[in-house]
Parts: sequence; structure tokens; C-alpha cells
Amino acid sequence: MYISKFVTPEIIFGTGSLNQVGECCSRLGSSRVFLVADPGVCRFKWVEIALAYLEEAKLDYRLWSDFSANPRDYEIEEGKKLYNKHSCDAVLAIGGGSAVDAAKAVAILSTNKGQIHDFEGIDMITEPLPPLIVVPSTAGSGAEVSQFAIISDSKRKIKMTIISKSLIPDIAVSDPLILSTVNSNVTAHTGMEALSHAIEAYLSLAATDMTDIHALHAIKLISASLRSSVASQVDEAAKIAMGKASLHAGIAFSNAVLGLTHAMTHQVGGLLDLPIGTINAVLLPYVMRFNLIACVEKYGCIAEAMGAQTDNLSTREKAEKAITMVRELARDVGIPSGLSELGLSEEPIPKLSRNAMKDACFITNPRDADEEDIINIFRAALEAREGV
Amino acid sequence: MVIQNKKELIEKLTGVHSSKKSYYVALKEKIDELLQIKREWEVTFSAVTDLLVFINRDYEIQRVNQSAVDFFTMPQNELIGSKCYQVFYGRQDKCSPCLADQVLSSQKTSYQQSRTRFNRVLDIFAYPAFTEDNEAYGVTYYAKDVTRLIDSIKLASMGEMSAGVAHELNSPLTAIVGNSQLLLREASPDDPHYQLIKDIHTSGIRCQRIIKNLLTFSRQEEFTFEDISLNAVVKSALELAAYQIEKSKIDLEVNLGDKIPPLSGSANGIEQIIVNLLLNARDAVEDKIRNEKSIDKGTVIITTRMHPDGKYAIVDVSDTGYGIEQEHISQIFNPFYTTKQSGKGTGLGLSVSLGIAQAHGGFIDLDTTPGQGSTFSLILPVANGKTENNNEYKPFNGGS
Ligand SMILES: Nc1ncnc2c1ncn2[C@@H]1O[C@H](COP(=O)(O)OP(=O)(O)OP(=O)(O)O)[C@@H](O)[C@H]1O
Ligand SMILES: [Mg+2]
Repeated sequence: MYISKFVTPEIIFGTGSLNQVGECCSRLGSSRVFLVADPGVCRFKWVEIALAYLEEAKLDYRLWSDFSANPRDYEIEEGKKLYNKHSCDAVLAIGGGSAVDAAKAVAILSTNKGQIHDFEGIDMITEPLPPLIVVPSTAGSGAEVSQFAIISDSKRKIKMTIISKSLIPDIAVSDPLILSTVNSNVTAHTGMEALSHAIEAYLSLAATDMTDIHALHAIKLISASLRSSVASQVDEAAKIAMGKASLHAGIAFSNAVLGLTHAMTHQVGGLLDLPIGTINAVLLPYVMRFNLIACVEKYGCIAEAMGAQTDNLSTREKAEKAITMVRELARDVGIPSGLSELGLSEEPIPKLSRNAMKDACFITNPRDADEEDIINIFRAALEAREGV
Repeated sequence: MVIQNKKELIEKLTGVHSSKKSYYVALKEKIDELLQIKREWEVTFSAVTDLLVFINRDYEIQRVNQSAVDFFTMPQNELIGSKCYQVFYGRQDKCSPCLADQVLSSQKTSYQQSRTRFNRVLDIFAYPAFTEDNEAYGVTYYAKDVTRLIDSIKLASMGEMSAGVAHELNSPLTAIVGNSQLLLREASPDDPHYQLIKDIHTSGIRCQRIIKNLLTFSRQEEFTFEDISLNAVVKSALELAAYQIEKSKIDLEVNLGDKIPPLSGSANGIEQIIVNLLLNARDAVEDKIRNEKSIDKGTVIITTRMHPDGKYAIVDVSDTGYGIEQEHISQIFNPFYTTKQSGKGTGLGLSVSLGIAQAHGGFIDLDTTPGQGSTFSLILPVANGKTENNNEYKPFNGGS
């Protein structure tokens, strides 16, 4: 048995909890807040509301939203300059995974000397970060609780994964109300991203009882509510369930880490500027198929958490059920079934496969895999072949 | 992949051995570092033997070092919050020009030499203190007490010069005083020239007193000790001073006590003290009458008496003059301290008098009420009460 560790931020959850942000920032000792806002979220009233709460708490702020959907290294550099120029002393992020990743990256550079790729990998951060408060605007990335940040390296055209306990925010403020302005497409791929977090964390070699509870609960919530959340922007119960699911999945994967699905997704993501959730969702059933023999029983538990009727089924049948149910859910919320639909071609697959083996997420994958295996999974996903 | 290696990788990945870098730890390190720096500065600050005083824009003292506490003889907590002009100069309002204002407006270091309370001369360097936004928010004074330096230069050169001049003036003055005395004796008071000669005579005496004081101050005069009668000495002092007092239309009252035993001392020296005290009394009363345009004449009273314990004989010289403010009392015995216009006072009278009194094992006491008058008391041990080394005269403040 390993010695394990389980870390979460302070979590504030509830409808209307956005009103806590001012108090959170000042309680962490801030007087000038660097507000990183998702350009997409800026179109809605949430940023204005947050600013009003900052003003109410008599805090100065500097708003920053000049970064792309998959934040680039040079954008982070600009963000850091702005942070320093205005002598900010805390980072508040409002947005999806990208905004949170950008916020984390700026926070790193604000106290640690160097460029963002100096921190790529595991535990490279040496100096404590300024207080970090995260308000997720989508239910999926889990970045509000996780120790991960992903930044695009514009020269190498890859996604750098930065892993450090220092990236775990101090406070996560999750307000399901914000999810009501997310369109069905984004709701779908972010929800599927949460599902892939939960499943991969659950199957991870580093999973513990502590992470399993969160992972299974997230799987249960997503299976029950993602469809209705995608169907209607005003389904409050579904939004609340998905908000919770994102937190639980985030807590699970932040502590148990992920697996091959994410290792492969990161490679495709470096090549195609697509939402991580979409790529994840396409790859997940193919990787699950490959991993199945490593943990057949756990697959059964996934199927049960997803609400499958398993009374008369064999262990193997239960496990198979998990894969079909993931496929069904993905199909129901409009996820394409193959990578070619996303625009990936055959040609880069060997290189992507080789790089996937270097990805940190690969370490905790439950089944050992070689390049050949990964190429095969890629090919199956490319052609949307159902059985590998 | 070696299994052991994979386990290690997983441990590394899940961060079992790593933790969120704690702000608190970093903060605590910073605080410790700052405390250390603060301690070092405080040690440095208090080790400086010159005065360090920091004031804010409202001229309020914020910080002082030990030397400043010692210098102003005020506890630190009283100094802090007090206005600098009050602490340095005993003023009720801002100085003009104000050194701090100069520094705050020019944002540059400035220097000034000034005489502060307790009659000390300070070389004051003033430095602006800036905020991060480059705004001057206060002034640091670094002050060096150069009194001793200044005064000793002044005293030494005064001493040398005056001794030479005084010697040269002595013989012509003797002729002026002696001859005018002779003429006065022969002339009848109705003679139209009588008053003129009298003036020549008293002016000569005045010059002699000044010269005497100068010589005493510069240790050029020797006293010989003998058994003397205090009342006799007072009488001969009055011969020199009474006319000058009465001429100023001031009542002079003389009460000579009886049963005053003889004392051992210099008749010349003690006479010098009494003349000095009498003329100061006259000046004080005269000044008061002039300033207040009063028709009251004012009075000077000289009394001799024994102290009840029988060990000391006392000469009191009281006046109804303007008295002396508390803050000046400590200074009036300093050489060259005078409030009189030049030509009227050299500031040597009291300093020299105290020196002579001390050389006799005695001292000068002062009782004064500002606006009402003063009593200076010369207190001298009588012959049987005197101590051993009294026969030797040491001026207490010749330039040493
Ligand atoms: N009786 C007094 N009443 C008020 N002030 C006095 C009296 N005697 C002395 N002082 C103050 O003390 C100062 C010093 O006196 P001191 O006799 O030493 O010098 P001076 O009278 O100014 O000059 P001089 O050397 O001619 O005596 C005086 O200038 C005066 O301000
Ligand atoms: Mg005098």
C-alpha cells in the first residue's frame, strides 16, 4: 500500500455563492485583485456582478481577459506583466478550464522566477503562489479544485502539463447559477470532461478510498443529470447536480490523477484547437475498452453508478455495460463517435502515440501499454470502430 | 518500465512527498528576516552617540534614539508625539525658517547650526524620508552637539585676547579713576563741573569692573585669602555701586546683620561678586521700569545675615525687576550669556561670581518670580566652618 495524500481547497458551493468573492479575497489578505475572466464569460453579467462584490469589499482590481481558449505561453507572460505592473496581490479566476489554467500560470510567474515552461512537469514550483480564488463557469474542468494547469507551448505546439500542490486554489466558489448561461454544446463537452475525470481517477493506479467515493459520486451525478442539463439552460436541479459533479470529479482526479485517455487527449489537443472535453469524450470508450482487463470489477461499479440494471449480469457483462453506457451518454449529448469527425488524420498518429507515453497522466493508467497499443487505440477511435 | 520505478513515479505524481508551498512559511521567514533587520537597526540606532530624531509632516516626533532621550532629559514616550520645535527650542510654534519645511519642499538634505534649549549648540543635518511613491513623508534629524567645541573655541580666544587687553587698560584706568577721585574730593558739589567729573569717575569704575571680570575669567587674577568682615566688604562694594543704583532713581535698602563672624577669603573677590549682583539687580529694575513705563521707582535691597545653622554667612541681593524665566535659569551662569544689548553686558558677571564663590567653598542661590523680581544669595562658609582646600582659588570655568 502506498502512503497517500488527499488535498482539497476550501469549497464554497451554492446558488448565489458568487456573492462570497469579495469577502474571500479580502480574508486572504488581498487589497488589489487580479481578476482573470474568461472572454466568453465576459459577455454575461457574471464578471460585472463579481466586480461589484469586490468593490463592496473595498478592493482594487485589474481585469484581464486577453487569452485564448487554450491559453498560450506568451499570453501568460503578458498577464504576468500586467499583474506586476498593478502590484496585484491575489488572483481571482472566473471561467472555464482555460481561464483557470491561465490564472494559475500567471500566479506561478508572479512569485517564481522564470518562464512558464520552466514549471512543466511535476512539482517544479518553489515559491508559494499568491492567494488563488476560482469561480468555475462551466461544470467540467475541475480546475477549481485540481493541482493541474495546462498551457500551450506556442513553439513546440504541444500542451504543457504543470502539476503541483501549489496550484490547488485556496478557495473554490462554485455557483450553479452561472451554469445557466452556458450553451448546450459547451455544457455537453464540459460534462463529458467531468465524466472522463471521474472514470479515469476511479481506475487510476493512485486511486484511494477517499478518491473513489468522489469519483463514483461524480459518475452517478453526471449520468443522472448531464442529459437534462444539456437539454435545458434553465433546469436548475440539473445545474446544481452538474456543479457538484464537477467538484467531485475534480477532487478525485486531482488526488488520484488520470490515465491514458487524458495522455492521448493532450496530444490531440496540441494539434487541433478543440475543447479538451470533446476529444476526451471521443477517446474515453476506446481507452476503457483497452483498460478493461485491468479492473473488470471496478467497471461493474461504474456501470452501477451510471444506473445500469446489473442484477442478472456476470462480472464481465457488468463491465461491458459501463462502456456501452458511456458511449450512449456521449451520443445523447451530441459527441461525435470518431476522431476523424474532429478532423484528425492517420498521419500524425505514431508521433502522438509516442508523446502520449511521456505524458504524466500515462503513469497512473491501470493497464501497461506500449506505443503499438496506443497506436491501435488511436486508429480504432479514428475509424470509430466499436470493438478493439 | 521497472516496477519500483513506476511506484516511485506514482508517488511523485500524487504528490505524497510534496505539499502546497505555504505562504505562511514564506511569510514567517520574511517576518523573521525583517525582525532581524529591525533589531540590527535598533542596535545601530541606539549605538549612535549623536542625536537621531524622526518627525512626520506635522513636525511630530515619531522616533528617537537613546542619545536624544539623554540630551533632552525627557522620557522617550513623552518625546514621541511632541512637536520638534518645542523639544528642540522650547517654542510654542513652528520656527521660521523651518528646517523641516525646507527639506520637505526641496526633497533634499539640509543643514543648520542652531542654539537649542539648555544653551546647547547643535549641528543639525536633516534628511527627507520618502514613501514608495517618492513622496516625502517625514524628516530625519541627525544632530551633533558641538557646544563644547564652539564654546571652547570662543572661550579660549576670548580668554587670551581679553587678558592682554585688560592688562593694558588697567594702568590708564587707574589714573582715570584715581585722578577723578582726587578732583571730586577738592571740588564742591555746586561746582558746575562736579557732575561731569563724577560721571568720569563712575564710568572708570564700570570699566574696572569689566576688566576685573575678564581677568578673573581668564585666570589672570590672583586672590589672596585673609580674614575679612563681610559687612565691611559689602560697604566697600556699595561705595562702588550705590551711586549707580541711586542715579537710576532706584531705592536702595541696606540691612547689615550683626554677629557675622569673620570669614576667610579674598575681600577683592567677594566685593567683585557683590558689585556684580548689585548691578544686575539695578539693570533688572531699570529694565522693568523702562519697559512698563512705570512710575514706581523699584527697589534693590541688600541684606547680610547668618544662616540659622551658623555655618554660613549670606548676602541677599533682592530686586523688584523682571525676574528670570525658568528656562533661562540654567543658562545665566554660563560665560557670555547675556540678554542685555551690547555695551550693557558682557555676560561674564554671574559666571565669574559663581567661580569666585565656589573657590570660597560657597555658592550662589537664586529665588526668582518672573515679573516680580529676584533674590540672588551669596552663601559663604564662615571661618570655623570652612574646609581644607578653600584657600586655593580655581575659577570654575576658565577656558580649559
Ligand atoms: N537680578 C536679575 N534679574 C533678572 N535677570 C538677571 C538678573 N541677574 C542676571 N540676570 C540675567 O542673567 C544674565 C547674565 O548675567 P551676568 O551678570 O552674567 O551678565 P550681564 O549682566 O548680562 O553682563 P555683565 O558681564 O556686564 O555682568 C543677564 O544678562 C540677565 O539676563
Ligand atoms: Mg551682570
